[in-house]
Amino acid sequence: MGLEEERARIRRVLGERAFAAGFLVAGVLVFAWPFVRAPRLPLVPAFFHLVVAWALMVIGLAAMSRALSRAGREPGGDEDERRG
Amino acid sequence: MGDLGAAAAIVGAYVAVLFAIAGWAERPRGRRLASTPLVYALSLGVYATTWTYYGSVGFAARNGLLFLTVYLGPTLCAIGWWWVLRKLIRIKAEYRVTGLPDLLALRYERSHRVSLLATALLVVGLVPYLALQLKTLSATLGLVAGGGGALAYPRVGDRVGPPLVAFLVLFTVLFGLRRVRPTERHPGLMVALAAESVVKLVAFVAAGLYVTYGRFDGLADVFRRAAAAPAPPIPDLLGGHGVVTWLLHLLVSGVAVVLLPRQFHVAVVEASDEGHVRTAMWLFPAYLLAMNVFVLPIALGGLLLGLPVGQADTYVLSLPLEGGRSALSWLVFLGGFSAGTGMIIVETTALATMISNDVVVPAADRLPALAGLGRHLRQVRWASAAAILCAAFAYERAFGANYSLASIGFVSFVAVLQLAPAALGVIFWQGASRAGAVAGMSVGFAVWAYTLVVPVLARSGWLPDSILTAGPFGIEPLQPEGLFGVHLDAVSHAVLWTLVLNGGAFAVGSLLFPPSRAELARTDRIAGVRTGPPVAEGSDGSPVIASTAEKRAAAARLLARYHGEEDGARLADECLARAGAPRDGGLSAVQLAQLQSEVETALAAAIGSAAAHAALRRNPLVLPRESRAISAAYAEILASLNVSPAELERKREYHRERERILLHEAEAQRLLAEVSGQLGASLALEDVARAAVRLPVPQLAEAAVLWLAPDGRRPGRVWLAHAAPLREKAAREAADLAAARLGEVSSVARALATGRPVSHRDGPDPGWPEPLRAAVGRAHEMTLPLLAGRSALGTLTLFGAAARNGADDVALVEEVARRLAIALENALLYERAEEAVRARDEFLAVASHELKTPLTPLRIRIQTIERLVARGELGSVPREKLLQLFGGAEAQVLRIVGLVDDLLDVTRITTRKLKLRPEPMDLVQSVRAVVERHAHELAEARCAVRIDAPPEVRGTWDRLRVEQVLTNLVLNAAKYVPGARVDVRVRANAAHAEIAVHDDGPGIAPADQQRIFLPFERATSYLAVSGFGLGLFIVRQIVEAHGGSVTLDSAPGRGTTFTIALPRAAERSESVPGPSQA
Repeated sequence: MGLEEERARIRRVLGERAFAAGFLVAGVLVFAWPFVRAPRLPLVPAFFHLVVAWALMVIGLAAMSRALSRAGREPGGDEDERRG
Repeated sequence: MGDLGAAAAIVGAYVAVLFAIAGWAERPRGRRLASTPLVYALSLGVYATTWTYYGSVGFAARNGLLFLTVYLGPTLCAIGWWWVLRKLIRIKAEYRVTGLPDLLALRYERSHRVSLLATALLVVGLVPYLALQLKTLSATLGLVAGGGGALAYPRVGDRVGPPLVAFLVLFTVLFGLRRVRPTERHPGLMVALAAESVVKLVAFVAAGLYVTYGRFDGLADVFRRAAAAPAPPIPDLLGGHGVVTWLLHLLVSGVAVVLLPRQFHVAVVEASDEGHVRTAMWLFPAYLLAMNVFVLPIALGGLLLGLPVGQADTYVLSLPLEGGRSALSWLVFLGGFSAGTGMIIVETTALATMISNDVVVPAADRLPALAGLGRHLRQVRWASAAAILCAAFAYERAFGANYSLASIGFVSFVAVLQLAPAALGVIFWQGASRAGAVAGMSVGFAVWAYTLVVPVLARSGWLPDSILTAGPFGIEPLQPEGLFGVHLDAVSHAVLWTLVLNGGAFAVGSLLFPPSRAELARTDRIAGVRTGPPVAEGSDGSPVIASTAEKRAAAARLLARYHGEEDGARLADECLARAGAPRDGGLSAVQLAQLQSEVETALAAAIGSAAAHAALRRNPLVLPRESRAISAAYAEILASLNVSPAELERKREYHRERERILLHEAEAQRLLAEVSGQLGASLALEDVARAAVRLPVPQLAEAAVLWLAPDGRRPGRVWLAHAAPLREKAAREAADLAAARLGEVSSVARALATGRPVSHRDGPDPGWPEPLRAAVGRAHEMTLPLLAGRSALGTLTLFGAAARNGADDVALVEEVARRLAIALENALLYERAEEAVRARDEFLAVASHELKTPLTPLRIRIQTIERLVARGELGSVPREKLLQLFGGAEAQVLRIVGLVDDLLDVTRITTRKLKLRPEPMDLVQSVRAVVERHAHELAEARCAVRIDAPPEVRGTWDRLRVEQVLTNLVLNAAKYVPGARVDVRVRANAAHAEIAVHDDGPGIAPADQQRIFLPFERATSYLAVSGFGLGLFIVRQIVEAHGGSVTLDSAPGRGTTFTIALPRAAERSESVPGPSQA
């Protein structure tokens, strides 16, 4: 692996981790919001808020998975077969 | 509804379908399906048990939205799966991990104590969870079969429990425990789990649609009625709990989704391709979302229809039953049946493997009476599975009626949480040790039992109830549900205390008893999943120390003890092949060591790493003599490398450090390449400066200020960049206003004076404008001079973090500043070159005009004379008229000669060919001669000239050149300020003579005062006044060639004074030097 490729890989991995950390923090904040705001949301609006946030989170995870899939160069296949 | 016979028929048919699916999946085509990411993600749906299927509705009816934490926690956790789960799958593939206790044992010194403790914790913690599933299956089967009398829970459990347990044991044995090596995958089980996930989702959504649209007019109707209903029975938002409870429940669920034995088994042990994690990380949360959309509507629907809250756990089934929807009821029941059986089968498979590897095999190795059990691992696991399910059934019979589904589920989740610190240590903390893991798990186990199990026993009558209210022995601070006065809900209370004490004990234990150096190296390999390169088959040239046949037989014997004769022989051959051992002949020391490692891994695949390590210790494959030879061989390898073990370690550290430095250097080079690229993108000074000031932000600094010093042609200029746009605006405005004074900031002045970086660690220099200092706060300041050759063009100031990595970063910013200075110098030169080209083009236009202007009147006069000659009228023209004609022609010729002389002088000056011929002369006489010589032009310009001079000022100068200087100055006054009064004053002392030529014209603007001494420059436009704009340039060159100087004193409205100072004894200059920079 060339130096440039290694630099690109490190940059990509750090970027991925930073995005994941930000995504996690944002998720916790959004999921906790109905219970920390004053006054607390009523039951039904809070339920809708959580379901919509959850759906958006799934979409975000799908996008993240797609990005990881494009960026990843690791060989796929059977891990156990590889080990023997 | 029919009786149990009909129920048995329907369940039997469904089970037969499940068996058929699992059986088909064991065939090649089914195996291919089992290895797809879709099946992997759906099989993770085993997380959704009867707790999800029935219990969530009950939980929602009592505690509002708190049920969602069980699914939102895993959704949040899925964000990190690509890094955590993938690493676990790699470790599993490399080290043949059979379960979570095995992974912990592998990491913590292959300690049997660690795996035993983890197994005990999981079995004790999860048997109630299994009991909960059995309870639900019995209760719902009774309900769907009629519900009354003997079919009511708990009595129905007596009838359906035993056959249910028998079926579950059978399925577990057939599809989960068929193989000795648990690491061999079970495609039938995985595909059956995926199918069950689909069935339970379809059934639950069908129930939700029925309640929402069959019993109400849609979701809006349910929610509208719920909003209008009184608080009881409609639940509170979180059942009266706060956000702390919400967050702690999220945490415990997020951990459980990976560490629950069934989840670890499906997600890690059964994983065929780490790439499947990418699909699972979004599909699994999507599955959970779909499963939960109708939970709250069903709960609210049941409550609005008047069903008692106490029966909310079965609303999903009782609502269709109450509505007489028989087919839907059976579908719903089968969905719940799928949820319960899937969980029980996988959980039992995982726990049975743990019991066999971490309890039975070690006991068989130590107790002669049990020695034979090691040869019957499969049967041991079958018996373990049966024992687990029987224990769960017994627990269900004893306690099942007293607790809701959710309360039991969370007790198990918190038990699993006790493995989290040690499990995180596997991946993230190399310094974690066996002592820490044992201490953490032990303390966590004890606190879990005290805070969650003791209250269950007390409420069931097994312990005095007073322990809950007054504490043990009347010590109130030790109340199991209110330790030291902390009162939260039972689960949050337990999570808080167990995490604090478990994590604390784990950290303290690991710090007090750290792993050995050898263990650190091994854990580093495990966490990094690094292995050596494959060993090539054949002799490696080293001496043979053991017979291949002998070692093959020993390995086969050992492996056969746990894998059986046939598999043992085959595995021994595979181990020899991977060790690179030749089929015949002997093994070298390195090959023998590798063989032992391979055999240990093969054993670990069946009995776990701790037991495998112990088995090899008791039945060593390597004899003491061979062990010494191996040590000698490795010592020889070290010697051939010319290093001691300690030195080898140091070298390793050196190479690690080198790698770190190289990466840092690579990053620096990347930044510098980016700097060069951006700086080279344009030659325009403004573009370069703007790009340059942005480059260090934010990689090297929080804010940057680029200041260009005044250069005589324009004042100081400043550019600024800040990581925060709002702060940048305020700071830039302040910097722009202070641009002219920034050179007085002491750090800038010092950097310019010394040519070295100036650093302020305690915040910016107080000389910076206040808004700029406010924008950068107390950030560290570093000001770097921008050096072009020896002169400084300006400074680059970085605020914040420029030196966070010490000398490396200082060197980096110095290099950035150096490249920036080069780019700025190039931009300045380019700007000057452009100006010169512009001036040249303008000059050519003017020169053409100037040279042509006298030619026209000259030509007219020549034509007139020619006409007179042709007509023979020349003699008749009066003499005065002829003289006027010839005089006018001569004047135009002289004008051209003057222009050409100026050009020749400039050429001589620039090529250093202008020679001075000094001679003794009287300066006053020359002044008077020049004024007299040009009296006509001065009179035409209406300029009155007054000479104020002593009688004589003698010196040695080039007379012609000095008179040329005087002529230029006097005629300049006449040319630019016609009608002005011109005073010429001559003064002298012993050393110098001084001539001042003053006019009372409008004066010269300060911006033009330097420029007018440059060639082809003038204060006014070319169109206003004729001439090349060379006069003052020639004046300065001639005067400086005499060793003198020219100064200009002028201001708008105050007239202009040119003062020439000449040394009375002129320097003997052979030629005039080239033009100096203005």
